[in-house]
Amino acid sequence: MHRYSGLIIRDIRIALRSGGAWLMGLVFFAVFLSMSAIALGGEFKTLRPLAPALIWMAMVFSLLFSFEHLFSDDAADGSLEHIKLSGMSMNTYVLSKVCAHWLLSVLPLMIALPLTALLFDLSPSILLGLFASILIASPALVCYGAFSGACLVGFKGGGFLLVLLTIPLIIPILIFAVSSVTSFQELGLFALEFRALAGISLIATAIGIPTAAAALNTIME
Amino acid sequence: MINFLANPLRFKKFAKVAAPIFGVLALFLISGGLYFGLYNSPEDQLQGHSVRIMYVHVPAVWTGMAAYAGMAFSSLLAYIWRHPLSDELARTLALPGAAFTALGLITGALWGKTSWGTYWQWDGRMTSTLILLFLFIGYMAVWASIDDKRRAARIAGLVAMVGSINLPIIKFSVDWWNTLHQTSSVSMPNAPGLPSSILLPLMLMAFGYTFFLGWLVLNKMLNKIANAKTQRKRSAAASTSLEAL
Repeated sequence: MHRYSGLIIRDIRIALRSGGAWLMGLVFFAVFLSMSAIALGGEFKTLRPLAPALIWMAMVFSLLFSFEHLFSDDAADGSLEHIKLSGMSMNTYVLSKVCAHWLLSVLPLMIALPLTALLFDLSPSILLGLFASILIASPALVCYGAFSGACLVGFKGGGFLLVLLTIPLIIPILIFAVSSVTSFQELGLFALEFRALAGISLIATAIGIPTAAAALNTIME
Repeated sequence: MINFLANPLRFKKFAKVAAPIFGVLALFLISGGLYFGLYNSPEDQLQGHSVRIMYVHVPAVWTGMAAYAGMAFSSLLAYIWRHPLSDELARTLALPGAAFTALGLITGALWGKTSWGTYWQWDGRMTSTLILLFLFIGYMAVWASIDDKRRAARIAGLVAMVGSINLPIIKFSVDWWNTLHQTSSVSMPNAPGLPSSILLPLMLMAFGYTFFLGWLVLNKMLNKIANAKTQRKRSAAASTSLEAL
């Protein structure tokens, strides 16, 4: 437990020292949303129904681009081998990386979410629905992303391949997440979509973390 | 059985006998299925002759899914027991599997145009079959782009196994999301939902496709074993000539 939290603190410390590189996902998120608002004509009447889908797309893509460096920095400077040699289980390592990544990339997006309500003139209940869907579905996103990121460690130009590997796993999440925002208006958190998302998140955590650990182990064989 | 075939020599012996049998069976079953399906089966009351697309469409998707299941299963075998042949088997299954899935999607689109009036609809089964095609492509992309062969095999195997959670989604999608695609009319064990004049060509085609897949895969595997052997011979020859120097 001590090592686990130590790794999370280490990751956050490295990110904070990186001169704001960890905020690039947030910048991408903002740019993607304003670009799509401009491309769609800027009318609130057309933008409002599309907003949940656009916000989810922006989040998925800003996360997808971040997974490429989730493990590759540790693998490149040798700390991955050190952690392995220290006798720490790879599962614990992956879990701590995933938690740190959630804190560093999903949490800023969630904090910035109320601002997007201004961009798209969203009602508070839709904003709440978005919050709920991101909170429930983001573990699945991060765990599947960790799996693809671990598969492609040390592989140059893996960005597109990472997208190709992750997209099939993420499509069900996207389907349920976008429709959960609308059904949140009527049923709240008890809508069918939230149960499905919670189930997907549990499955993704159970599958993604051990397979990511296994993929990392193949590098050091 | 698995341990028996894990030895390349014994696998070769088996494949040399089985591949021609599979090929001949596939030829007979597919031509029989085509005859019964295209000439000797009733046309649909509503859809007319376009219902005959089913005899190509349904078995293609079944075989694509079976190829994926085989790929994931032999990846699992390779992961646990590290049989190098099962990695090769999984890799060999990917391309035909993708081709069958693509065939199923294309024929489905043509059939959809004639009976639903649209080539494509984002309903559960179509979307998840499209995801299956993406999974096949991703799997092949991993093999193609990681240089170290052993690592590529491990990573591709993991990708195949993780992706296999999509198979039950395809199977049950029509029951979960009751959208455009009709539910299965074949799989009920006690209540045969189809008359035998339709079921017979469908089954002939399904088994024919499966044997065709087996024929393709076994031949490709024989090819790969032979290649590995000549490479080993060549490198052995190279090292002896080096020693002679």
